[in-house]
Amino acid sequence: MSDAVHTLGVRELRNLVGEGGASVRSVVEAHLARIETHDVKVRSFVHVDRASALEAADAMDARRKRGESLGALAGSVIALKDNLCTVGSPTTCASRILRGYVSPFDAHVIERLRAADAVLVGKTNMDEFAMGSSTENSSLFPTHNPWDLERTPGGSSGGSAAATASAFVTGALGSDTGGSVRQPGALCGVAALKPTYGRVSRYGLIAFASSLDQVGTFGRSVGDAASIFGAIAGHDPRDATSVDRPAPVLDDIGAGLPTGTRIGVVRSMLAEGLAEDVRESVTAAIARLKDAGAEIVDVELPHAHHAIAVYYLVATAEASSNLARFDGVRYGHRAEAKDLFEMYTRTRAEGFGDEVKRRIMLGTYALAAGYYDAYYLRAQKVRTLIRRDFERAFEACDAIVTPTTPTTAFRIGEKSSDPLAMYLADVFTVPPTWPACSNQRACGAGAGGLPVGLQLLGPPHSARRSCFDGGGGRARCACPDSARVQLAGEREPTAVDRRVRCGSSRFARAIERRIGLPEKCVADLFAVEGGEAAAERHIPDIPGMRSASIMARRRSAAMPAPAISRPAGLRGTLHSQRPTTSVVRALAVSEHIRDALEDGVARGMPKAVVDGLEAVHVGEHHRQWRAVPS
Amino acid sequence: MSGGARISLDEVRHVARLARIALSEDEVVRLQRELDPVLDYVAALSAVDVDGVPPTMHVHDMPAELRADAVEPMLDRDVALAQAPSPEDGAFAVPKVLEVGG
Repeated sequence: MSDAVHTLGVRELRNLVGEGGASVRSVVEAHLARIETHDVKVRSFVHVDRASALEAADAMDARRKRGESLGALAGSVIALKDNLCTVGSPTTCASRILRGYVSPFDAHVIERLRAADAVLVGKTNMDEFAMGSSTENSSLFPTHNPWDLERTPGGSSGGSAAATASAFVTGALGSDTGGSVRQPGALCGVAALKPTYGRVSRYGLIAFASSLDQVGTFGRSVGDAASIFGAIAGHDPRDATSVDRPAPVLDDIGAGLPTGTRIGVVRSMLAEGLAEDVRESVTAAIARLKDAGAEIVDVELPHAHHAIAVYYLVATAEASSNLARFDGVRYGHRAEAKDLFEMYTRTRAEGFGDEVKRRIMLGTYALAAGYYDAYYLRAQKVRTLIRRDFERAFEACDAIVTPTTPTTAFRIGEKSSDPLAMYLADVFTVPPTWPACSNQRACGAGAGGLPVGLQLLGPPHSARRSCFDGGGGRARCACPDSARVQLAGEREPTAVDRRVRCGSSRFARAIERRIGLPEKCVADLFAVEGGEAAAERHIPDIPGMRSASIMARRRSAAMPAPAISRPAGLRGTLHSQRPTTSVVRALAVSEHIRDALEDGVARGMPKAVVDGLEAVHVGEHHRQWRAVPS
Repeated sequence: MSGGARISLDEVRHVARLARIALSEDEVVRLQRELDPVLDYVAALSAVDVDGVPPTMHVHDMPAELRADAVEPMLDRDVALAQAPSPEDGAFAVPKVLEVGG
């Protein structure tokens, strides 16, 4: 069996367990081990269902032994956003008001995942009731972006995106109302799919804004996100808005861009309000689509800039109504009170967080007598204009391409005191929420190596048109040890590829691409003693380095997650394979790996290595290390 | 609206009552300060020409689907009550609404 089973995608896992190459239990155990080791830093899960996941795995292994065939998601380990009702596991929407709540029924999508033999491993963190763009509005704790732990993973499905990016799971479910799947997908560098409204049943998805909410999927490749979507799509009479039409067949995504595809570009969306690194990556991605045979056409969406205003009236109005059910009567938190009115008002005051209160207030205001026409009704009319813009644009093209977000991942705390600034993080994902199905894939790396997302929009029920494998760039799986990604227009690296041939001049790029060490860190490595020759001296015992090739080894569960333990990526792990003093010295210069070093010390890194370093700063939480000048 | 705030403190209190959320006076002041710029932002919609434009209440034009008018199995009562903060005699108990008798 592969020694890096957590890096595999949906189909690879199905083949692996289907052919008996590995038991489902071993696959699940490998993922659980990663979660246990690394999620203390990422904090993507609010609840891990270890026992039930292993039980489900054993049942599948038993069925396979009896000769039964397994479902399309056999071997896949899936995480669930905590607003999807799941029997046997808490469902809390990361809210105090639902603390400890256990749903008596499964959401439709959960039933479908179980039927497809996915193993459900736990519930992920989110902005409370899916209201937010950073996962900072969770009542429990913020989730960290695995690419840079000081940054947010986006939101509201930030836990699902971060867990997928960290290879804690094969993929995950989230929910998208104004971008809550696509935006965290972009900030965490994973593929995310927001199906057309109505395509996936909302039964058992705890409602935020009913006319917009849709369950979406995450995967480390577009193909994986599509495979999971394939398993959950379909008609469900329990959701009155569920569309009764055949689910799309999306099994040829790897074939790339369909010939003759017309890709629409909205020039004004690339002009202003966009960070330079995002603009560069997206522009390059458009050029690659053109090289791949797409016809690029200009389209316009003249009313799209009103979408955020429309959204924050429509969504909050619907939320104020939907969240009226949390009143302390039938389930969840109840405050002590002398009468019924006070019980309602105090229960809700204690149970809801600040952002949820803000939105309920805004929505109640927009619906209140005297304001309805000016706010809510007017917003619904402008919504029509935006919808018509898209209908017109889709007459001229098959899919529209936009950035997914205006910037790469922002810092935790950066926008949390300014609600409006946070709302504007959704400027590209909100407009197509009504009239399109959208999917996002990583298309490159911005400043600091942070992922940049590309959004592809198709007309309703056209997942086939926007779900192709293309437009990606220097994308890679966010998890450095997996050294694997399909988004890039790069093919899947083979075992031979992993023995990266690289002269010293290509050394940095190779490390960066194959191991995921950030460029900045590699640059620091070179800076230690001046250049590439030094780099060779620093890495004397990497197999084949002297002959200008390196072996980027992949390790299984013990391998560190991004931004946690970088130097280990060069040679396995700190605790299983000792790095040489010089390697650690060289790499320790970089701030990026200070955590790794501390991790290594904690794990009993050889004293000789530690002695070669000095702490240059001892702060409250961090020590920074560098090599002792010789 | 030039000069004054788009939403007054009294309006915040009124809306909070409609929304059944108890607010302290500090929270009333803070919410007024936070909601005001958002209302300012959405006010841009008043400049959009929507004459003769129908509202989009829903994304697709499909008719509402009705289920058959038949009794179907529902959640078992004990299961439904299992999560209740204060179940009593097979029902959800709440603080008294009306004084009985007297």
